[in-house]
Amino acid sequence: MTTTIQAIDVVVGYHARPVADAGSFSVDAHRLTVITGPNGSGKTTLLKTIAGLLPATSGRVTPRLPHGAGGVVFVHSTPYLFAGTAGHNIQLACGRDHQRARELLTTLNLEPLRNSDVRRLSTGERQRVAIARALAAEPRLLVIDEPEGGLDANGMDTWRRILEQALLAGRPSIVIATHQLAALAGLPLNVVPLPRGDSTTTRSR
Amino acid sequence: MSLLDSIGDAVMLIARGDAEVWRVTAVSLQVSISALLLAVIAGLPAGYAVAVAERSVASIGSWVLHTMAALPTVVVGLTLYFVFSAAGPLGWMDVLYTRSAMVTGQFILALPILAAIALTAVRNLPVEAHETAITLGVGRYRRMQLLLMEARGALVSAVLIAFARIFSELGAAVILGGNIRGQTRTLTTVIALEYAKGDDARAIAMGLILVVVALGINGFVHGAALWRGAERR
Repeated sequence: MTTTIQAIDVVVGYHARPVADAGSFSVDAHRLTVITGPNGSGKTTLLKTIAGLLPATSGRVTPRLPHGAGGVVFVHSTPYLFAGTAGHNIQLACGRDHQRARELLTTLNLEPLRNSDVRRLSTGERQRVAIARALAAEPRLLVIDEPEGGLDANGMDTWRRILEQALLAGRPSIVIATHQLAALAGLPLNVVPLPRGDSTTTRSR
Repeated sequence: MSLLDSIGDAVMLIARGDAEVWRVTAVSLQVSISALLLAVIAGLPAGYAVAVAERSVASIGSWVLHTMAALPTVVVGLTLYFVFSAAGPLGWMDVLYTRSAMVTGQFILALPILAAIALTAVRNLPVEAHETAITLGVGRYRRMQLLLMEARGALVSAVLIAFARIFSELGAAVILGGNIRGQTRTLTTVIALEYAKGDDARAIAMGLILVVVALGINGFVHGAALWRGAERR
């Protein structure tokens, strides 16, 4: 099993104030790493720490991947799209590779929305644009906060297909936070449960 | 002469295309637009750089820029006068009483306004905007472009406010330009001069042009914004 990153005795938080003790775990290329836990347990904080957007309060995530292409990309639960069209957002991440942008638009059924202003998109469409944009960067590690948010049945099917392909190919390695484990049935999972925010128990996986 | 007579004469001056009136208007626009362009090129990146700096740097930077934005124009004019005067540190440049000196003065007046508003606008963007630009791995320069574009609504206001401040200022223009006919005479310096001489019609004519240009530019920018907004709907 190819390990992409390892979290070692990681405690995450904001401004040195601990929010969650995630312990130790590894993110593998052929297994979907799933962070679970109740609201307020620190899932987003842990994801941002894995994605290198926040420093760990203690412990470490190793190796430290660069942001973007060949490194790590994070997708928010409510994705932020830059002003312009869906196509512009995807192109932003893949530079001059127009072919790749076109492929992703097709894969995520976004071709009809290519020239749509992002302000006109539904929540699910925004989510798909954000996932396409993240994949466009060709990261080694993709970290997504509640990817199912806003996706309808078709969107979920597409998402599952992308997950299956990535797990098979071993790239990108994927970490998600979710409340819907049932939707991931049949996929090879590495579940990292977070206790409520007040827990200080250290766990090893 | 009543006020109405003066206004009538002022309108006549403008209508018959008085050469002096248009020359002064052209000098005003040339100086202010040059200063504004330079201030936009320097001020927006400066505001962005302070906004994304460490919290303590950003706080001090914000305080400095907002303080500078409130500097009286006459103080800026006087300070630069000493800098550019023959005995001053930049006296060798020999720019005092030229349009270059006026552009420098107006640049210094516009810069902190643009930088301060850019700073606030970029800091007020959602944290997700900053994080998304970082996580996608776009280069520093492209990230700045992206985030300034996200804050463009506030930046358009910043440009209008900065232009309004420098186009209508008198203190720096009169001290650094010296109000030389055909060279550094601007709408505001002429208003002050003609008022002192008692030529109300000429002063009012310049005042009218000043107001019309300021309103026109504001109207144009707001109109363009409304049109673009309507086009997107």
